[in-house]
Amino acid sequence: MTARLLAIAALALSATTAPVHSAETNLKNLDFDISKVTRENFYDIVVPAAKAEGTVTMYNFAGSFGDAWKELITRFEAKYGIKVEYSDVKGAQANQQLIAVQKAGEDAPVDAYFAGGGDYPLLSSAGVVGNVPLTTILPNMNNYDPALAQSLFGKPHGGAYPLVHLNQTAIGYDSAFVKPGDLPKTFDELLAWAEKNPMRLGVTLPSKGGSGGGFIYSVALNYLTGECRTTLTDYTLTAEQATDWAMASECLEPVWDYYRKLLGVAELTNGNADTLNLINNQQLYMGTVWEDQVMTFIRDKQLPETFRLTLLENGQVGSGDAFFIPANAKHVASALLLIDMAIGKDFQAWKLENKASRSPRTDLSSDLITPETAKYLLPANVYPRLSAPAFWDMSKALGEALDEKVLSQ
Amino acid sequence: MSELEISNITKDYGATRALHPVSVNVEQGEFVTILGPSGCGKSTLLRILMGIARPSAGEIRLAGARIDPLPPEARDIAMVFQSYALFPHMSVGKNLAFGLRMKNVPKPERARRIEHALEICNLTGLVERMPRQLSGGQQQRVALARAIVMQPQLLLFDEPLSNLDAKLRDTLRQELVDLHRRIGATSIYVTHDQAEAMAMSDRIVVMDGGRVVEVGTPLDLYRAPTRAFTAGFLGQTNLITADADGDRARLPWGQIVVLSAPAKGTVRVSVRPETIAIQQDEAGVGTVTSVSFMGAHALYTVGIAGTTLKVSQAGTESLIAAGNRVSLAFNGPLHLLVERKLQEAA
Amino acid sequence: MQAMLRDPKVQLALLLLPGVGYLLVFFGGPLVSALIGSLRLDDSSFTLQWYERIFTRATMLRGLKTSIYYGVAPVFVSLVVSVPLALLIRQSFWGRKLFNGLYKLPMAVPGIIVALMVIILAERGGFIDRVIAPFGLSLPKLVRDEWGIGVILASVWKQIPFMTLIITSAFAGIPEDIRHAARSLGASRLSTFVFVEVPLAMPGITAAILLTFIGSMGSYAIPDIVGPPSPRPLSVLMIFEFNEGRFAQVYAMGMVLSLFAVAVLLAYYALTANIGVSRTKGDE
Ligand SMILES: Nc1ncnc2c1ncn2[C@@H]1O[C@H](COP(=O)(O)OP(=O)(O)OP(=O)(O)O)[C@@H](O)[C@H]1O
Ligand SMILES: [Mg+2]
Repeated sequence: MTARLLAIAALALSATTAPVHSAETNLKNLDFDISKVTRENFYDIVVPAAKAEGTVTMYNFAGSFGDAWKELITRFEAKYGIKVEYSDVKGAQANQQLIAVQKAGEDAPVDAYFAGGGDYPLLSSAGVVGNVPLTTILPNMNNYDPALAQSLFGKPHGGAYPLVHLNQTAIGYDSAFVKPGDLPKTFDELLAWAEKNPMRLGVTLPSKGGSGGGFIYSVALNYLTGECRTTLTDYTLTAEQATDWAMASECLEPVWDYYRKLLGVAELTNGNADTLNLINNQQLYMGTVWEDQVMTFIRDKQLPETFRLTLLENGQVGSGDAFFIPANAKHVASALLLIDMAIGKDFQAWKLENKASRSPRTDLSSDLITPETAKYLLPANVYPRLSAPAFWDMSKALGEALDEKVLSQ
Repeated sequence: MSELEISNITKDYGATRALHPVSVNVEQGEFVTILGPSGCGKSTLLRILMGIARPSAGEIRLAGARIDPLPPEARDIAMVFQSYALFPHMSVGKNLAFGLRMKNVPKPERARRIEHALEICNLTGLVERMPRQLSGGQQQRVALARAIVMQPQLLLFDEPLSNLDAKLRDTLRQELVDLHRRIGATSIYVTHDQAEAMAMSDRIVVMDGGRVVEVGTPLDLYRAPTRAFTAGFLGQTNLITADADGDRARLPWGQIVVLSAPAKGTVRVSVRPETIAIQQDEAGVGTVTSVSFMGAHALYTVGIAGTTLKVSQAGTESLIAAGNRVSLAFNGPLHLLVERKLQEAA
Repeated sequence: MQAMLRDPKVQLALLLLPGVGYLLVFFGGPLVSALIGSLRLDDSSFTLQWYERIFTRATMLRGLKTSIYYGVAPVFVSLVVSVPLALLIRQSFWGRKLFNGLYKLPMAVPGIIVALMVIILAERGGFIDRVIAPFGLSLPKLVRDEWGIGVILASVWKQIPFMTLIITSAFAGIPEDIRHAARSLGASRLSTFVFVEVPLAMPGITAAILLTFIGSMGSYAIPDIVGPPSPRPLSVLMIFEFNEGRFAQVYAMGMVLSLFAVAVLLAYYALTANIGVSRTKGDE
């Protein structure tokens, strides 16, 4: 295995970079004409081709998603009789593996890859992402959120890199201690609440947890206007450019100011779980959280049943993770079918109910979930209305600048 | 009242008794040696005197005052250790000054005493040296100087010469004797070397198995030991069983000898080889089984009535060859041994 | 070839090869490659920017100070505990054997486990807090506290056995007679300890100090989990930079930490060279 990887890596180094982004499809192993596939004829063409393939390989990068995929695979194998070879992978490693394989011109080791939403720029620039307009041809994507159908976090993907799982940063609180009337609705009110309840608000350090990274970007979205806001949401910026801007720009003064005040009265924590743990210990009453992680903690009895979620005006960061077919995948038809089922209403509802995993489907009404689960989710009056798209490179840049400009001063 | 009175000191290590009640008195200025085989409890007694070990029972008085409850630092006693126990991180001068500093001796007095001690221990010029830069003999002299600089009421020596080679041991032994004569400190010296004990001591305390066997001057103990153990430990001897009646006794081969004290029945006597006169005699009852010529004297082994005797003959002009018959004569009265099984005592 | 092997210089080189070669390959090699890596931009051109960042960024400078603090503070606390503990272990007391075995256990517990234990036990509202709450007591803030008390205590807990072990053997190496000699010369227990035992145990004590210092300065899990989010020591910042893929920065920080450790090591050698002269057995 190692030897093979080494060989691949060596090849990758010697081979000249293959051209990427061919106009039509870049899928290598196709035995049917994918340009002819539409939502209407999808199953007629794809199902027989998939059954002929007989097997499909899937990668999952998200540790917490194993049980969800197991559920999907059981359903998939029962319905189509196609065997799914499933592997949990480390995102960064699998990405590098795929890039090496692509450069070497070999077949991809995976057909359907559940990858990080933020990995698209890297994977697409290496030509790894199969050029399939999934959002336009998969029947189950007919109710797909149009905002996500053609681009992701500001980067166009033409439907080849569709999110199938959305997650949302939020404000979580223990309703046993926070009265409905006192619940902050804006960032200003949050600060005021923290000042009234010193050291009862937990803010995750941005560099140690996405709930903190999402929060600092949300703060910036809330307080920046005009040109400053334009730069803040300029997805064409590279990570380095974002860092330089965050370190130097006057634009962010309101953000630093907000944090200076907030951290005088709030507890800075070492991670998403750290924040939740302190709330569970009743040391904190409110904190920055991930909606889906809260559900896991509730199910494991690591948070009180009185725990609730909300979003602040003018929005907090939401993110997501995507399914895609590598350009050199061997079992394209089966992969198409698998992704189609993953975005299907049934599975998306199951995922929401069991994992608080939000869906890019627009038709997933709350009556599909049990009231028992619904009370731990973000209420309909704030979600998805107050969900703002993530820009992780900028979040990271802001986090580093926060350390430099506020925490270390 | 003696300077040092050791009364009924015992020491138990768990179930084993290292010292049975031991009582010894030492006079002011006296040099007393504790002599005994390895493991007999010499060091234990010394450690109890020093205060490093606690006695299980008994009491100790120094100049009339009880010292056994006191910690070592409160006793006016200094000790020279078998291992020297110099402080390796201090120069010779600092080693000597340590005790004086601890006892708050004023600085000028300190310097005076150190200088004096260095001088009498032949250490002048070595003040700045570290212990590891000294030879074994020098280290031992430093240990000695470190003890005498304290001018203690009592000086203890635990086999201080046993780590040195024979020649150095002789030199230092002589130095020690001279030193004692000069400073006159009451001293207790532990050794298992009988020659050392006899050469140095005013009195010897013979110990065996945690008990005091006998106490006396070197001469008395050598000439007239009352215990077989003492007789055997202090030089060579012949132990002979005899049949006593009044101040006469009959030896196993029928010879009649004079006893130093009257007795009745079976007795044992100790006869030093050099107190027996040997004479070639065809009619004699003994037979020479071996002879070794030692220069100053000749040592014969004589078989007689089923036993063997050692006989030493000084200043002879000719030797009696092995196989010759001899007769033996005993000069002066023979000394009776007090028969007592050691285990029964105390 | 045969003749060459008989050349004493060649022989010497061959004899030295295992030792020197080992050092070169396993110590020098990584160090040099880290040094080169820390001086390079992505396009392989020379740069000092990674070092510049360490010495100009407030986060990094505080990180360096925090690393030193997390290295030094636990050593002092451990020392205060370990020396009396080493003396206690020397005495005989009831249950000594058991204690002797037990006190070493923390050595076998990985840093990350210690950190998680602290979070579970000593977090506000955590296990200990809940146990003592009925008595009207509560723990001070030990986790994420400004002074890193939790980090220090966790490091101390982990260090004490190691330190005690070394110090115990340092004291045990002092011949009993030397202690007795001091007592016989009028020194009390305390004076004997201060003037004789401590100086003689010093090489062992300084070695323990040095080793624990370097160990806790480089530890990652404890400050990351138990320490305050800010400031973070260089070790934690290094992992962060590593995750960001800024390897050159990681190398540069590693070089600075190593340099510091080497400086401390040299200071140690200089210090013990003096002690070493006077430290040898009395009966050689
Ligand atoms: N700490 C101890 N625990 C148990 N037994 C001990 C201890 N110290 C000494 N002993 C025992 O007490 C007895 C006397 O020991 P001591 O050291 O006094 O002998 P010694 O006459 O000095 O012998 P040596 O000539 O070999 O030095 C020995 O049997 C020894 O084993
Ligand atoms: Mg002894």
